Amino acid sequence: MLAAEKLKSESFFASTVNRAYYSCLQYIFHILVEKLNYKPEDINQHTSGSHERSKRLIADSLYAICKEDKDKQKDYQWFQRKLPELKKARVKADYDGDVITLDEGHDAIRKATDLISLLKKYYRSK
Amino acid sequence: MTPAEFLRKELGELAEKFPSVHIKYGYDKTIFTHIVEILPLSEFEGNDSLLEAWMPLSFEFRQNFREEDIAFVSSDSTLRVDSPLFEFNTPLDLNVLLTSFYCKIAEEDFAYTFPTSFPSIMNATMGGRSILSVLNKPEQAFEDFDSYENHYENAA
Repeated sequence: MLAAEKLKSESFFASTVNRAYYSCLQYIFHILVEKLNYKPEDINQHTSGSHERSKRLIADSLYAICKEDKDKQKDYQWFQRKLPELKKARVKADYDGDVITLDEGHDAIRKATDLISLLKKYYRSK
Repeated sequence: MTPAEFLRKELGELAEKFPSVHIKYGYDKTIFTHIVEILPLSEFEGNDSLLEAWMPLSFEFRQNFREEDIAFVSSDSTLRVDSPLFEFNTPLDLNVLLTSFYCKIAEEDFAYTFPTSFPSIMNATMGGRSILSVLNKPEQAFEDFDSYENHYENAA
């Protein structure tokens, strides 16, 4: 995330979005391996790719935690739509060739920060 | 059963339980994710029963289709569905309804053509002669004013 902030300050907004997305993804990998005891090969060798696989695993885990509590359900509702939004922003930044604005860079950092905060809320103590 | 077929069935049932909720389905190819947009935003964010209804569906979908992903969003999302593959409880757009109604009337108005002939008059006679010959005759001589009036009364 520090890299994302530095790149934003240097006006490299496409790279900002990329770093913000990967900071979130890396934290998800960390949770899956260190907290939920998945093996790296279980995540990496899946046919749909490690990004997709890890997204689904963390969503399933969060659903199991949140499904019975009304307040926690709101967290799941928010998480399951914000992570794909961040991914879409990253795909646009890395592959579409469109100009990425400061607002988009800032939005990506904010989304990634909020996603990581939410994951810490539920997995830090595990 | 394909993911889309599964969602058509499940979302259809969801739509029946929540008739005031507009549900749109699409697929975002850039992130390989099935998108379900729930409208209006107030229902998506404030209706706890609705949330409790679609949350298990999102989990069940991922369990049934392990290579697929799904996201439930609303109108404030960058993932919103602009061209749905199918939808439920589509609200009536009053502007669209009024436009289609008045367009039909306007079409009939524009298609209207004024008559250029009057068959009933064309066959009329006046004083034993056809009205056409009377109208084409440049002069009409009358002996007196009463005869003049009688002619035009008869024609009318």
